Amino acid sequence: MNINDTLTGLIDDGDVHAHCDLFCGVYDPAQARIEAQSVYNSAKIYHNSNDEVEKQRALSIKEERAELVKHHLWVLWTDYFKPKHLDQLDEDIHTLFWKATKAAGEAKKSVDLDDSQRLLDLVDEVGKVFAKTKEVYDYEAVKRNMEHQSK
Amino acid sequence: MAFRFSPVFRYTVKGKSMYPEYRQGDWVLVNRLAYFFSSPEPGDDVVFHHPVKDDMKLIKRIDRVSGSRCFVRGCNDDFSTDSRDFGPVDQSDIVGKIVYKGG
Repeated sequence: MNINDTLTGLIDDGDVHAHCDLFCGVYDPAQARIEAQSVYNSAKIYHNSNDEVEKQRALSIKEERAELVKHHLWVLWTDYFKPKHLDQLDEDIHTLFWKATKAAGEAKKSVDLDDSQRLLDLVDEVGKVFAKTKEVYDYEAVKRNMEHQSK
Repeated sequence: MAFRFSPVFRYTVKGKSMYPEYRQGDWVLVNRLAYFFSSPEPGDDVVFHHPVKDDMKLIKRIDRVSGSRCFVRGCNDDFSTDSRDFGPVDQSDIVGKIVYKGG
């Protein structure tokens, strides 16, 4: 080990983050909606199938996708929405995201279609609020596209 | 991990909220004793502990100072998560002042 390596070892303290989760500035509730639709469809497949293997796969995918819904909701909640949005909007953003995240948790552990539907409804509420902050964004189009893919 | 008594730490920059002043992959030297005998001032570039994530350190520029509280911002407002989101940073959470940048 040369002196440069030794010095580096003494002072190198790892990484420092110029923190920004999405430098590209791309945020879209469609990501959460797609995964929520997948949760709903998986729950439906579970009920409609007589194949045990398929049922187990449906459960596994439902749980995985419910986690992704949470992730996408958290990115919007903690990174996209800024204090200025809280001032602009009538909706209680924190309560909405809290309810939607809780609904994702419920849909993850449940095969009740009502739980999956509740998750979809809350993600739609998030989408509508998001659309209020983006002039040209059309959340209704996202919703329509997803509803076409409902099994 | 650096020798914990070293007065200078070196960090590698990740992320782009400090672009163009600091680019991803740049490295910086941080003087940990900078605020022992003086106080942080607006315009100082600092490294500090993330207010929530214990294992993460952030790099930002001090925007204004109020007592021991420093309001920090990125150089790239649109893409920076900073005091506008997580509030002021206490001086005790500041690791040190950036004194040199290498790339």
